Amino acid sequence: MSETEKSDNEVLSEALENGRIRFFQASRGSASGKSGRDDTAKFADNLMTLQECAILLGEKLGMHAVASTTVYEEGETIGFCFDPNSNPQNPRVAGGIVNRRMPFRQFNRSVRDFIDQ
Amino acid sequence: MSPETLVSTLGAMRQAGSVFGVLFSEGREEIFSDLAYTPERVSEMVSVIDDIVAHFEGEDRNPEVLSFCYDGGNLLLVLARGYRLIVLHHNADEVDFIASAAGAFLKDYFTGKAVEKWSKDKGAGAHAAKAATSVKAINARQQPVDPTAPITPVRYE
Repeated sequence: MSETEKSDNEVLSEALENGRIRFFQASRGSASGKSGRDDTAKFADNLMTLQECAILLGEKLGMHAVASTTVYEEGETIGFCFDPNSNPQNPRVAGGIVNRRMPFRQFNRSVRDFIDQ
Repeated sequence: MSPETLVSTLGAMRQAGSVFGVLFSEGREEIFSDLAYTPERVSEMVSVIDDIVAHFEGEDRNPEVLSFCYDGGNLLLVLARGYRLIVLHHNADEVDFIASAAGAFLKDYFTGKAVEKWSKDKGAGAHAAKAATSVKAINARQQPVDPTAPITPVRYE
């Protein structure tokens, strides 16, 4: 295991142990994070699925600009927010995964704080 | 939960906070809706939600609550045992309160369903017992008469 992978796993382990959000960023079809490749891939998969759900539902509601989406599922809270300061032609997204049920408001605020950092 | 209670409870939710629409469905069957859309649009919404749930199930996933924030409003989707509750609301900060209320409603709904089923099963059991008694009585009357028994005159009153 490389030093980077070891470090990523420590980030993941520490986050899981303390119930802290693992943060990710995504744009132009790629995602990045500090908690390891698998965790980042998990976020990327969820990002695609949630975006698709948001678009499908939004079409029926007549709402189109998605600001954020969050899901609670079997002990995990996963979600993303669009970076309001990013170029609309090349939107950036930030999101997270946490291994507990977190109030959506608190989760979204944490992701926005991460965007603002 | 009686239809009146269902309408009353979801109607109350509709009046709470910044809620501007409620949709309750089971699979592709709409149970309650007061969304300000045409019936066709509501039906499409129910179908889309069913497709979304089917997609998750196909991936062996079981999401419980989803929240979507749009420029024009927010949508909360609560999923449980094949039932789907959608709540549209303006104020994003209300999402957790609404999720909690939606969860409480579904718990009450399932409790009502369980009591209804238990009542029906109990009723069916009572009817079956009564029917068995009647059959027993008929069978007893049809037993062959003992030819050596003394003849008892019948009194007509």
